[in-house]
Amino acid sequence: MVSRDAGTTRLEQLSKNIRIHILEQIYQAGSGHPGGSLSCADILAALYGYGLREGSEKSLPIDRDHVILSKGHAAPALYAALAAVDIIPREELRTLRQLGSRLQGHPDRSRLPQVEMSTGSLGQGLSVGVGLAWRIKTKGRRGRVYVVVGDGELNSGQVWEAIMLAGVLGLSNLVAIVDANEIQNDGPVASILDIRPYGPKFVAFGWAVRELDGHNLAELCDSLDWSRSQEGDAPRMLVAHTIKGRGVSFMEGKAEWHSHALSQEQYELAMEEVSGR
Amino acid sequence: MNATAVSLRDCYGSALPELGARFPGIVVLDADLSSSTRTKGFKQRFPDRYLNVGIAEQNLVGVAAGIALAGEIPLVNTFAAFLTRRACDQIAISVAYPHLNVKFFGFHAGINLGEDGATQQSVEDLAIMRGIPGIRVFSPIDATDLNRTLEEVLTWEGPTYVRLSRFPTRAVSDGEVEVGHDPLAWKVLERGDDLCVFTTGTVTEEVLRATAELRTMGTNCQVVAVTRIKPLAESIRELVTLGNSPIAVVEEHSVFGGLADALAELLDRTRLDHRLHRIGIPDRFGESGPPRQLLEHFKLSGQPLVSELLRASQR
Repeated sequence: MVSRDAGTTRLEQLSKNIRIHILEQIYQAGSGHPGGSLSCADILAALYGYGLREGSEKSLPIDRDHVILSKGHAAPALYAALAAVDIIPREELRTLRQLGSRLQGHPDRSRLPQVEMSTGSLGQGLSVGVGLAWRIKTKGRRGRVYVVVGDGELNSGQVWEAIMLAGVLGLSNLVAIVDANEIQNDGPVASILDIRPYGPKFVAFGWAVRELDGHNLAELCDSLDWSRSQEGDAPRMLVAHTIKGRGVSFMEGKAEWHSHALSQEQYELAMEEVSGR
Repeated sequence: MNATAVSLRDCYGSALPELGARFPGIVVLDADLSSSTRTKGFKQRFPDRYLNVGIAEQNLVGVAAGIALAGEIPLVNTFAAFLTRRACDQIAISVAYPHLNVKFFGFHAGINLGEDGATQQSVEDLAIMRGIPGIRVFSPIDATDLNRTLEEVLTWEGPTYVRLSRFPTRAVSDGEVEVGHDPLAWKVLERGDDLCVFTTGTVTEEVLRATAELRTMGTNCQVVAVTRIKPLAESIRELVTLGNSPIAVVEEHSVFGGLADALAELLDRTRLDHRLHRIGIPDRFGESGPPRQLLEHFKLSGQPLVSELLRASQR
C-alpha cells in the first residue's frame, strides 16, 4: 500500500508520463483519439498507480484485480499507462497502429495479453466486467473489476443491460468509472442523447454512486478507497467529471480532437504544455 | 434408422448435468428461454454455476466473455435467431476476436420451429457464424452426433457454435454407417453412384427418407452428412473427386452462406467442374406453418425433396 502524501506526487508524475506517451504515440502514428485518451489519463494513473492491489500477473484471474477499458478508442492512454508502470516496454509505444504491431488502434488481447480485454466496439466492456465480477464473487475470491466507460458510450443499450444485471446480482466487487468528458464523436453529449444527470439513474438500478473530479488525483484515490470500503452489495459507480483533451489547451473541450492527428507544430506545443505542468 | 425420435435440445439438456460434473468449469447461461433450452437439470444440480440474464442477448454474450476471462467455460443458450442476429457484433468482438473459450448453442435453428414464424426461425445463422473468424461451427445430425460434438466442443479451447433444432429426429448416424476417421468431418450414411448428396443437421433424416424412396425408383444416392461446417475437412474433396456423380446439397438454411457455400469454397480449389444443386431456403425469410408442411414447402422433405434430388441426379 502506498502512503497517500508520497503517493500523490508519484501519481502526478505517472499521469504526466501517461500524457506524454499519449501524445508521442498519436503523433508518431499519424492518427488516433487524443481527446478521450487525455481525459482518462488521470483515471488510469490512479488505477495503475494506486487502485490495483490484489494479486499479480501470476495469480489466477479470480485472485487479482482487473481493468477493462471499455472505451477502447482511448487505447493510447492504456498503452501509455502500461508502459509507464513497466508492464510493456516503452520503446514499443512507437509501433502504435503500425502493421504487425501489438498495439492495435483499439486494444487487442490476442496480440497483447497485457490488456485484459479486446474492446473498441463501444458498449461491450461493462458486460464483460459483470461476467468476470460475478464469477469472482460467487467463488468468494478477492479480485475486483474496474471498467472504464465513456459518457458517450452510455448511449449504448448494452451498457444498461449490464447495469441492470450488476445491480440485481449485487456485484460489490465491480467498479464502473465513467469518464464523463461531455463530448462524443459528433459533438457535445448534451446535444446528442442527453441523459444527464447520470447518478440517479445508476442509483435506481441498485448501484452506489459517487461523483468526483476525474482530474484530481487525491479525489480519485479517495473514491477508489470508497469503492473498496463501502458496505453492502451494490456495485460501485464513479462518475468522473473530466475534460476532453485535458492538459493540452488547444484540445480541451473540443470535439474535433476526438479523433485527430497532430502536426509537428501542434505536437511540440502540446508536449511543452504536458511536460511543463 | 432407429425408431425413437428425440429432439436435440432434450438430448443436450439431459447431457448437461453429467457434463457439469465432468467439467467443473462449465457455467450455463440463459436469456429467458430456459424452458426451451432445457437447462433446468443443470440449474438444479449446480445453482452457483447458472445464470439467467433476462431478455438481453448482447449482455448475455458479454457476460459469457467475462466468465471465460475468469478461466471458466460458459455455455450460452438461446434461440439461434436472437443469438446470431442480435448479438453478432458481441460474438465477433467480445468473444471471437480475443479468442475466448465461449460455447454458443443456437436453439430452434432453421425453420422447423414452424408456427412461430420468421422472427423466431433462423435461416442465416450458419452464414453469420461461419463468417466470423476463429469460430468452429457444428451442425449435429442426431443425438449420437450431438454427444460427439459436445465432447469436441468442450475439449477444444476456443469459441464454438453448435446449431440445434427443435424437431424430434431419429437416430441416423448408427446402423449401416461408414464412419470416416473423424466422424464430425463427414459420414457416409448411404452408398450410391447416381447422385452424391451432402447434408447437415437434423434434416438429414428427411434426406434419408427421400433417398430410400429414390432407391425404389432405381436412383442410388450416396449420402454424406457433415457436422463440422467450419473448419470443413479437406478430405471431403477426395470423397467428391472419387466419383463423377452430380452433387446436391440439402440444408435447412439459406442457400447462401451455409454448407453449400462451404463446400463450394472447398471444391473451387479442386479446379474440377463441380456444380452444386442447392436445396435450401431461397433468398427469403421463413414463415408460419406446421413444421413438416413447412419443410415440404421449402422442398426439404417428402415428395418435393424426392423430386428435387431426382432433378439433381438427371443433370
